[in-house]
Amino acid sequence: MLSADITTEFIEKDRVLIIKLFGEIDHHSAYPLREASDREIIMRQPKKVVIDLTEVSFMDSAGLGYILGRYSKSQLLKAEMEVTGASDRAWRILQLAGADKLLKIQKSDSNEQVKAGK
Amino acid sequence: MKNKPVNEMKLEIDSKSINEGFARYTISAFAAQLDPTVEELSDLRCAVSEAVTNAIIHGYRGGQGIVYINARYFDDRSVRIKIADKGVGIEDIKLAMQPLYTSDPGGERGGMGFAVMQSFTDGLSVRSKPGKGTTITMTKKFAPRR
Repeated sequence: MLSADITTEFIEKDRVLIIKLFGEIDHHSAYPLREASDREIIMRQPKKVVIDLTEVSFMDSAGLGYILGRYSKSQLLKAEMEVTGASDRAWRILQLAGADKLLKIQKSDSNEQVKAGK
Repeated sequence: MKNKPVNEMKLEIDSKSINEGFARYTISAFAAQLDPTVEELSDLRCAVSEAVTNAIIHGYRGGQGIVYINARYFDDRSVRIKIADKGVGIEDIKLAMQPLYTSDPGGERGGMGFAVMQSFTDGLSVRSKPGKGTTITMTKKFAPRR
């Protein structure tokens, strides 16, 4: 894929909104992604938002910006937030910014949960 | 001093965000000639993406311009990539490189571009002149093939 393309699937169950992402998150794809996500979050008012990165094949710091942006949105709506399926690289980027200290992040290919530490 | 590159490529692209993906895949296709691991190549792709994005959104402030990319690789399996713009330049490089610093707080970019470049390569240097532009040079050394 020569330009970043991202598609989303919004799944809601028991007021938990799962945002499943497919494709690549860079500066180019992040803007429409964040618009679409915020629309769903505001409309559905979930008690928890889960961002699933399992099918994300590429992400740079724009992905981090996207995740932290949705985190502050969730905070405003008093919703919890969690990230699942983070690749090693996604994990390293999130960790560089200390996102692992703010929210629960689950890596892909592991059942190990990295708990939000205080 | 480095010896002569084994191979070299140049790429000039319009400062359009749609070219970020194109640039990182072109560079990674070039570097793939060294047969690096998938991980090494993904690191490189990520670092290139950050640098090209910086040129587009900070260097040219989202406006028109050309991003100049040069990649070379050497005998010792190192790749050197230069990404340059003729945009606004950076007043204070030290400040710009600080993790979480962003000149665009509303942009949701996180201010982690340089931190990612640093973390995913083996060498990073930034040269910039306000009003003249910025050149980012990154080096990534691939492990020897067994």
